[in-house]
Amino acid sequence: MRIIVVFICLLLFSCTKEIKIDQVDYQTKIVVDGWIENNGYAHVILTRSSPFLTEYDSASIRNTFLNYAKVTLSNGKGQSEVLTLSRQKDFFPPFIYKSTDIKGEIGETYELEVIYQNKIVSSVTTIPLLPDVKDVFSDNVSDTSMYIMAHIEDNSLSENYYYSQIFVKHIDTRFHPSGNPLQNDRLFNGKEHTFQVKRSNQPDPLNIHNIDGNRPLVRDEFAIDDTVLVKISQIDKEAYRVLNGIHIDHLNTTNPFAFIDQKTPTNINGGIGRWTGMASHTFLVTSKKPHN
Amino acid sequence: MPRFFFVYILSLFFITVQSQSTEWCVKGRIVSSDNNEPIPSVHITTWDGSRGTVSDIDGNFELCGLITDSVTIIIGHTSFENRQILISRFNNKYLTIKLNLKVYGTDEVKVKGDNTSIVKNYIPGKLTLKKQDILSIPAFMGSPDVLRGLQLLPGMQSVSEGNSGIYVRGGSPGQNYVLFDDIELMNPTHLMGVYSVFNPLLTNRVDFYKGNAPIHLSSRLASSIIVDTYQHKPDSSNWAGNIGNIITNLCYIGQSKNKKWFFSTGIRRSYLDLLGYMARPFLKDEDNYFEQNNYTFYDWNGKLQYRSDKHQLALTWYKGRDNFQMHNTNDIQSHSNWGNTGLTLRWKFLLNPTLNMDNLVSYTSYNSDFGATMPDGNMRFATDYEQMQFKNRFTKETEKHLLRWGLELTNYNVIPQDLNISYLKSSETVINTYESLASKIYVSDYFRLGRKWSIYGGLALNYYQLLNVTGDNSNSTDNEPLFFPNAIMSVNYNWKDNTSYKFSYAYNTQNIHLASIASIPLPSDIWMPATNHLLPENSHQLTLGYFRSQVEKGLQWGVEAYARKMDNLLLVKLNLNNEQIERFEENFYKGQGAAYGTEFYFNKRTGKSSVTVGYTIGWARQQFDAINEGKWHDAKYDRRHDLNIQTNYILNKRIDIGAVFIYASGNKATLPTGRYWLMGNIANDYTGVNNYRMPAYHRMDLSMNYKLSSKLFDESVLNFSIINLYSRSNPYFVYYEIEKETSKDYELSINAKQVSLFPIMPSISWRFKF
Repeated sequence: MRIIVVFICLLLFSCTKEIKIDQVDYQTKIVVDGWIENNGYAHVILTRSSPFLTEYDSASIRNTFLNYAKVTLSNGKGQSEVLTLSRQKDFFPPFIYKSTDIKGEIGETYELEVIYQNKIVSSVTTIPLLPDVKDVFSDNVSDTSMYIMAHIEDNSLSENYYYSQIFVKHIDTRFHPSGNPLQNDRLFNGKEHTFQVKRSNQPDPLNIHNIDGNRPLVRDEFAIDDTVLVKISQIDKEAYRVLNGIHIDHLNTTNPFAFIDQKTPTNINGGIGRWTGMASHTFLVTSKKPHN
Repeated sequence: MPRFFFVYILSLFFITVQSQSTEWCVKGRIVSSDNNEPIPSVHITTWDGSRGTVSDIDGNFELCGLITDSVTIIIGHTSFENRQILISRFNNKYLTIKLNLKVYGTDEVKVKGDNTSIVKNYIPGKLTLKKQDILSIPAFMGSPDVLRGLQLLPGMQSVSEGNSGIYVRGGSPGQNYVLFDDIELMNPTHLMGVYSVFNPLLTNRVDFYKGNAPIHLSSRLASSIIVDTYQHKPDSSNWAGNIGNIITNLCYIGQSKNKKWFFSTGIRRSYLDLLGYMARPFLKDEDNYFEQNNYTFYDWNGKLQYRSDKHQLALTWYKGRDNFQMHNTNDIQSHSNWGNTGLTLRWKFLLNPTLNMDNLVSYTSYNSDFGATMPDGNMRFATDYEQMQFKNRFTKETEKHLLRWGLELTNYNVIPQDLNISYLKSSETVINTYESLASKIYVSDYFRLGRKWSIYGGLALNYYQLLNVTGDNSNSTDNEPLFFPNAIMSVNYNWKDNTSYKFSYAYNTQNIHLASIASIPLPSDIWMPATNHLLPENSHQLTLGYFRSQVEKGLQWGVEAYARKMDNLLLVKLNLNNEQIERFEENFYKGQGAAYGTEFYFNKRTGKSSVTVGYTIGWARQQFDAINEGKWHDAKYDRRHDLNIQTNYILNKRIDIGAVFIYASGNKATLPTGRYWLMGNIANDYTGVNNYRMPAYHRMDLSMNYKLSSKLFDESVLNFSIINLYSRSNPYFVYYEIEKETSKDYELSINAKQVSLFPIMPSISWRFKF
């Protein structure tokens, strides 16, 4: 896939200019950004999509939020709960629907149903087994920087999908995906596997994560005095497909080599977005050796 | 009166008696009316067949043993129109006989580039380009190019910058059969489509068939592009060359004194990399663009030929390579290189005056290698294609028929995708290799019915089988043999001498797919052999044309409508989720396509000037179950209008000028139509593939050739060219950019951006011969 990202060959004589494009007709859709983690409550952010070429300012961003929806969560045991809308202190998201009763459990299935103005959208996800993470450790690269590595033992009996997130304390304000956050076990099924958890400079247009894209560091390294929370999760196949699709689309928007089968990755019926169940372990990582 | 009669009888008697006592001879030389080149192996016989001879390598002949005072001799050759000449003993001079080329449109029969060819040519959708046509087009960065000449003809899309594909009548780039001196080339472009691989100074003729080539030249769905270099020395010069802004070209043509041996070779090399070295003393490394991005390409082709009266043996070769290196400041390094290699040995044998046999053994390979080193790890992506081919063909000519039959055997060895990604710990990566065998037997006939009708029919039977497969679950790949036919029929009705109606139907197949990875063709697009799960591509094409020429006005024009339905097309399904697949064939989408449209052609020549206008209105549609919910939609390269206007004017003996104008509707692109917030970022909502039509492409090019007078050089021409005269920013691709307004919180500006490749590009080049 990265072939295409890097394959920007013939820009020998290229020049870029702004052009006017007419917005084609677009029907706005209900967007679900929801997740549930083991031992955690469900979180659902509901918005509406916008035509691409409309303006985005603080008022219009807030206007995309859906505050009057009925969001119902039910699990495989037959329990169900209508999520409560709670107001946030942050500018974004201003509102989150949360569960107060049902907490995520390993191996459980969760169905989400959103009713808004006679429209119903729904989705199902599972929280798979916890990943067998043996260790998450730092590896100093230089006097000033370090790698973070994760060591897992893959379960040979199932197809496993891993998702890693990071939270650099004192800089970031919350977890966000690491660089190359997703992988499946196709090449290490049933084996021990060590991989690098990479820092990421993902775009953060609303300063939600407060990612500092200008740190004087090699892109996937951390500063040696960083304190980093690393979350390694297992997700199900469908969640992996959706998150991976979204991740790749982000990497790929500004090059000419668009995919021939481009579509919006989603596991929401009747809408778009994601509903992700995660079985997560969180680790605190600092540099192993005291630096001079 | 009786007295006169008596004298006449007497004189006849006397002459007969005298001629019985002395035999006489006719001597002469036979040349082509096209270029005055001598024609060897022409059969010269008396009317009754009692005496005969064959012309030698220089076209000379001597027919002796003639007895009667006047004889009608018949001059015959498979490639030329027969002539009959009455010669009298008393007016017996050394003859120079000019023969006209037959308008068969085959590779050994040349098409005459005169004003009537478009009408008489029995294959609709066929166009021919000569070297002079190529040299008269404005040169891109000082180098004339064969493909740019073809792109000005109706039917082939006129735009290709940054896009290494050739699009003919709604066909995709992998549906063109490209033969360069009998060598099949899998990717005929350099520098991402800016130049083609054919050396323009050696190119003698290009035949371009739009999907209904004669059966022995048809191997793909959309077109056959047959490029031939010289077989004879065209003039007295041995060396020719062209020094352009980024390419230098040097050619040698030589011939032995007895004209039996012929040798030609040409080499071209770009020197963009030299600009980097030259800039070194003046620029810091990080500012030196050409140091960071190194692009070079070269090609070398040649021919060694031996001819005797009955035999012709030729060895031709081609080797070319593109090499691109990029060193980016963001720790990204990448390289991409690709190239074709080919070698063909051809033996032609004239068995008797009306029957010849042609044998070819050829080898072709294509490979591309892309690699990148990134902070994320290293990756390498390579494709490899090899084919060995044997062809045997017979051509038999009778008075009304041109029969052709033959056999082709091809062995393919293909590695569609050799992928190596370090961060995936790819020790288990399996390379998939395919070996397959194809054979084709065919027969065709071209015949005339009276003066007005001519008909061509060709039929082929193909056999195809995978021989050996290795890689992902190779044992699950079935390798049952496949049999499929090819058929073509063309009817030409010459309503009047200067007007013709043409109809053609072709059922074409191809047993190798070129599957696109991305929405624009890349050198690393995958050549994938047909298998039992990815059946050979096939198409039905119908063509209907009307052509007319008015020689007295120097005018010819034509209209041609076409419709084509294609099946078993492939696109690469990128395994983005790195999923386990059962067999390699699952990496592709299978679908169908349709293309239809109408082409208009107009040409007017006077002594000093010429104008050619080509216009195509066309549609290219496709349907893949997994794309756009299985609905029919426009293909990426769908262009509604494509207009080319080309003019040349000879100002005086020294100066000629030319201009080209191109207008083409934008092709299709995929852009998101909506956006939404997800995980704190803006995500794109796509409502369809190829949902957006890019802005139209147009540009004007000018050129001037100025002939320098020189004692040293046979030809010395300065060419001044300006590409994109009014510096139109033509779209290469369009994307959306979301930028944060720094002054205000939470305010984002959303813009559509267009990337263009070539602004106004003036160039000077020097072409010479000595």
